[in-house]
Amino acid sequence: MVKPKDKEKQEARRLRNEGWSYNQIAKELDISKSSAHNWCHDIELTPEQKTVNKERGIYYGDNNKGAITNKKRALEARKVYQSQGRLKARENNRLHITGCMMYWAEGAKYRRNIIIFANSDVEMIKVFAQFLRQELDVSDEQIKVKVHCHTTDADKIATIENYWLNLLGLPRDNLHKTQIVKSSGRSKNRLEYGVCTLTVQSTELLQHIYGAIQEYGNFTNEDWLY
Amino acid sequence: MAKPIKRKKARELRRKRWKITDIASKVDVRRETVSKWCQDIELTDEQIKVLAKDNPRWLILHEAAQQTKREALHQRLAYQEAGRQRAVDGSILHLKGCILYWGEGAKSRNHLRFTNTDPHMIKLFMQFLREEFQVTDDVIYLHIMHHTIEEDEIDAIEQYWLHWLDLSAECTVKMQLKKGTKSRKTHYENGICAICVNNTEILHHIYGAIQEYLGFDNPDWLK
Repeated sequence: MVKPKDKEKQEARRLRNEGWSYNQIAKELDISKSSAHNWCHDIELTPEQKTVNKERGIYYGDNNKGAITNKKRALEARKVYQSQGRLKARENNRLHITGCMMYWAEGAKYRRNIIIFANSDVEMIKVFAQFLRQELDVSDEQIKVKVHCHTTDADKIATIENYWLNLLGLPRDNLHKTQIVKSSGRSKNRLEYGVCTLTVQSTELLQHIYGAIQEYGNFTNEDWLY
Repeated sequence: MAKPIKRKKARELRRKRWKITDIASKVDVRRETVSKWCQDIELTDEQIKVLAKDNPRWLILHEAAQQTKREALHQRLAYQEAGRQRAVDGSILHLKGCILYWGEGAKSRNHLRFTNTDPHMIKLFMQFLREEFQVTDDVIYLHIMHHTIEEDEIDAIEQYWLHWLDLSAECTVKMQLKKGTKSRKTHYENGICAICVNNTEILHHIYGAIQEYLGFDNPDWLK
């Protein structure tokens, strides 16, 4: 997947490889420091580069050791989850293929620890919920529902919320606050039941799906690990 | 689907025997749009009489049009049925391709169109078209959209997709270019690529297969 600001990202990674600090990269490319960090945090600096940065007075000491260890541990965990997904994908189970292909097409691929699947198509939401429950053993409490709609009428909003909850067979506790998109009044494509988003907070399951997609599609996408 | 609420309203009115022009002004869309939305709703004998009275030739044309319409619908049903049959014991690749099309494909009537920026997804879909439907290079046309006006970049991108999808020069490539602005945040390195095939049979085969795989019916796709 090609991400936004791709050129800046590549440039930032090149600079980071040369040993620049995040502050310097951010200033040079006119981006925020957190973007620079987001894009480059997997690049390890050589000891010499670290020394240079340290001497420049940047806070960079043993205090970071815990964070570095945690980061490595989490990356290893994600790799394990992805390989589990790949293994599962070799069984060629139909519902599993369906769910993963749907996630590849419609799911959010910019996060690494939360499954986000949004759609307005009733059948798609239904099938994806079935996939979560049957293939990934997600319990009802873990599935959160959020609805986006255009209307401000309280009755209508309640109807829409109930519509999706009934469809998914979930209690009201699972519903996040409904987001009302302020309409410009010119919006043409108003959907009757708005857009429904399913989220599951789980690194393991998301990385499992990523791993499986790569196995099904027969490719490797390093971006999904970081 | 675009304008779902207006569409529903228009169909309701048409079933109540409203005239196309009246519906158009009532729900505030163009006449042609209403006609497209409601074309499967049959006219009553009374309505036909009224229309035929003003113009005798109209009846002949109407009959012929109805006949063609019925035949085409029948044909589409047959294609969908073939897709359903295939889905019962379909290959893994068939299943993957159909589900991807459900997510990313255009749901029109006669034009198969699959759009994405992810090269791996496009490649998998191409493999699906080739292995499952024996689609050859000469019927495929690529539609590439990109924000640039630099000649070199345009050539590079065209070559990139042709090479990546292993397409020969027989396939038609259409480039749709726009000048990029500085404020544009999203920049795809190789643009957006759409694979298009003008083939009703393949498209409805896929529609049929999707419905069979997931176990639901979507009559909208038949229209």
